[in-house]
Amino acid sequence: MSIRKKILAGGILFALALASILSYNSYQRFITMIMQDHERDALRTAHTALAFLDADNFSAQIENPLERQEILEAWQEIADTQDVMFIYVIEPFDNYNNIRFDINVMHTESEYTVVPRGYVQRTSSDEYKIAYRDLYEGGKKYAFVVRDNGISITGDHVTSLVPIKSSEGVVQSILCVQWQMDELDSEKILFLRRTVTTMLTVLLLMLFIGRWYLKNHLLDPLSALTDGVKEISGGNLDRKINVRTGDEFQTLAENFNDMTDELKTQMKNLAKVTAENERIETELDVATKIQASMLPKDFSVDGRADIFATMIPAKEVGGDLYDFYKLDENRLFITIADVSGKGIPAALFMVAAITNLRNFVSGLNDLKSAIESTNDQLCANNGGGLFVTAFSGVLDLETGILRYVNAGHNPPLIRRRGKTFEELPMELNFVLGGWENWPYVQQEIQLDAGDTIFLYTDGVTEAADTTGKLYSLERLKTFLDGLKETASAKEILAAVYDSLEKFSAGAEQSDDITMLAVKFEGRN
Amino acid sequence: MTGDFQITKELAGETLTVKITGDLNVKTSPQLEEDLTNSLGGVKELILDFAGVEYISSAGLRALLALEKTMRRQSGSMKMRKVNPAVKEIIRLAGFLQVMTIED
Repeated sequence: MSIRKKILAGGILFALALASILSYNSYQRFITMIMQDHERDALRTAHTALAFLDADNFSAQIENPLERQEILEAWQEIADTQDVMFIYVIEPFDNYNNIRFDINVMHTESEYTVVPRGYVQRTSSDEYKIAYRDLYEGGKKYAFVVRDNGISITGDHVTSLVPIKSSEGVVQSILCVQWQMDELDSEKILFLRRTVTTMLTVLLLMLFIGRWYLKNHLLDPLSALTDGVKEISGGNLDRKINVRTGDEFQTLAENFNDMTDELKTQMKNLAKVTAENERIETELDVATKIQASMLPKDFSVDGRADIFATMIPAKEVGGDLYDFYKLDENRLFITIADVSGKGIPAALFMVAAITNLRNFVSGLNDLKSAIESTNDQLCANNGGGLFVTAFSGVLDLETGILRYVNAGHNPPLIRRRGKTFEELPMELNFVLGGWENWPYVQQEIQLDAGDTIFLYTDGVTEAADTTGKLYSLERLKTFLDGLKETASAKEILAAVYDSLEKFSAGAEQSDDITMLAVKFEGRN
Repeated sequence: MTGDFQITKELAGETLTVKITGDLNVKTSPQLEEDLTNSLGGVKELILDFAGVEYISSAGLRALLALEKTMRRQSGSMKMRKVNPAVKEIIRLAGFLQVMTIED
């Protein structure tokens, strides 16, 4: 239900209630007043009628036919002109229980006929008895009996009673004037109808004026606000709420307008920032793709080595890399490396590292010199103080000899056929790009057919679960040992990655995960 | 937790002892580097107390390397003390023990 309807319904109810109370009140006052009027009129008529009687000789007067006729004619005139129903004289007796009629007239148009002289009837009610006694014994000058309860057989009426008193003060009889209240009833109804009509008209008028006032000063501004807010919340921030009432509504509307302006500015800023973020994100995305594209994807380099590698970047562009390619007919070069830090600087440094390594490895025949040259080159152009941990090796596919240099990287794992995974024998060397002119130690190991080497970055062993627990080298070794020896390099990496995913389910990948596996298939 | 990371410095003559609490990772390491770079002027001996460090990432290694280089440039020395075995292993694997000193 809208406020409009509520106010209207409430107003109507209020008007009806007020009209009822006021009408009832004035009706009661009207009845009292009109009864007093009627009583006074009846009394006046009674006194007029009484003037025709001679109280001292009342009995003789009504006995005399001529005088009696005079009285009757005078009274008939009075009754007809003053609209009196019944003028009569009675004498109560038997302790006011009975009355005897002496003389009476009826209004000409009355449906009743006059009562014969000497007619006796029982006093019709106690009220009459009380009135009779008051007049006879109480010395009262007049009395009234009102019969308006509908039980009187002659209809509702008011009777005024005056004593016919001799000059000695003795009450001879009682003169009664009966005034019908039929007219009174119609007057009452008329009054009531007028009162109610007037009352309702005035109240409804007030109601409509009130409603008009409310509409202009309360409901219309409220509607304007509601409509405006609805439109604004629908997304139209250009919508201005126009309320010019000079009150709190206008203040509210102005506040709303200020708010939408503020909101608009904020949204513009947000859009700008979002666009900027999107641009950066797109660039980072491109950087990640460029970085990934530098890593070799064709794993069918030589039938004598089953090789596979993956690099799964973390959310942020990072600095992991792997690399492998054949230097010549029989020599396979492999590398895995991890640049310290993250983001664009790390990615750029990674590109510098992979480019330098490729250049020097291809140009120099010996791995140690290539690594040392790469280190010096990276140190020379290293404003950011970054470094890279790297493991590089050259596998002679003919002889099975693996020559390698480990520059601060996690020792790769090796599984001799029929054995478990162990760390490769490792001389400690400094990271690349960290210390100029560092003398790196080169090592070598003889591989046999069926031996597997697993290279990884710390993204594997330091993958965390939701509680922050790390995957660890022990877990990695145990997991790898559990794999079938017949598993291909690709299958090994897939299985390890699957195990990592299960371990860190729900946790965000914080570092690049890079793995490279080489299975030496042996001399042909 | 970055919020738990704390650095307490104590200068006695030309010896600066730095107590590190918290992981040295990509977030905290630049704090360490930045904080110490401004405090190393005139320091001949830098002692890093690693009792409160349980993990060091490559960013942490980088910070250590930068500090070592700074100390060498000003003819000073750097030592690490109370290094947790796991942290020590990471430092060792990176080859850092060949240029840095860890006191037991």
